[in-house]
Amino acid sequence: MSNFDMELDARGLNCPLPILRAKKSINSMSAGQVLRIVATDPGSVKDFEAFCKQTGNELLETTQDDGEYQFNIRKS
Amino acid sequence: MINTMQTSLGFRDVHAYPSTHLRLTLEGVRVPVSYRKTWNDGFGARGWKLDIASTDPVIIASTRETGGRIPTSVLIHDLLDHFLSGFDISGHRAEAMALIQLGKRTGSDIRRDYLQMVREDLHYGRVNHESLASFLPPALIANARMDGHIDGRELIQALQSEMGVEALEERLVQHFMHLGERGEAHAQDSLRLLGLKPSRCREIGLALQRVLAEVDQRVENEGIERLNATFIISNEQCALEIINAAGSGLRKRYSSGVG
Repeated sequence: MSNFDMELDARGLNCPLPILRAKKSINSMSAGQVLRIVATDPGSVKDFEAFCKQTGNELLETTQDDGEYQFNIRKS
Repeated sequence: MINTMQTSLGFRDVHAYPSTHLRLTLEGVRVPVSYRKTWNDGFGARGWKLDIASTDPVIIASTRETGGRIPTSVLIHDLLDHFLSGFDISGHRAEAMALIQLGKRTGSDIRRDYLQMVREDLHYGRVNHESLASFLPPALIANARMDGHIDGRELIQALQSEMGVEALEERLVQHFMHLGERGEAHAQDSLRLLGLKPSRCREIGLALQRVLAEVDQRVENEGIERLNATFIISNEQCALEIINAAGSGLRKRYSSGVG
């Protein structure tokens, strides 16, 4: 069973597009739901930290595996 | 004389831009931009914004990074395909028109971008700067069976029920294309009014990207927090002039020839 409600494939996208698309996805979700983002841009790590800090959404988890970054964000 | 559509939604008269956001000089068109290590704008991204767009809530800062399929960053797209072409920086109608300019100068397939906006925005009833009902062609809305006032999401769902999801997507992509093509003459007029040759846009875009790439790399490496600068654009050369370069380790000016 997955531990997220929606997944965004941002592989191949460079800053700022992963953040832009994540914000759109979160806008369509309900409070408490979790968005998983898969990205390949190393700059997305700092970007998603800053994004969550500014928006109040909770960055639950950041993982890196084989050049891919996964972020789980809970909508506030 | 500029195209008469200039007062319509999404269009801007380049001669009416305030001098704080665009100045014509002998050297070229001067457009101020700002850099922040982190923008306090609800996105929090590192990068650059045109000063005219610095308070627009839907504009995210851009770095030097290009798209996977196109040799241009979001900032250069905003500058060349929106601002200098006489279109609003944000809004789906303006984006439809600006993407036509992007497609022409880069050869990219903009149908994919239109389809992405359909799936990520219109599908949820969202259109920036206007209602979904005003954005859609009246002939399409006539297909929806509506009882009284409904919101954008309900309108899309009604259209999906009538037409099917795939047919509606294709119809909306066509609408984006149609809207985009309506801006073609205005973009060419706007560029000429600024002394820029539409036929040189491909090379101008590449020169702007080269300048941005060099400066943005240096700014990132040095961990600079904030910076103000001015793009200078002409048919022969593009440059980025750093306003507060002192103490930053940057030169006063970076430039690149136009093809």
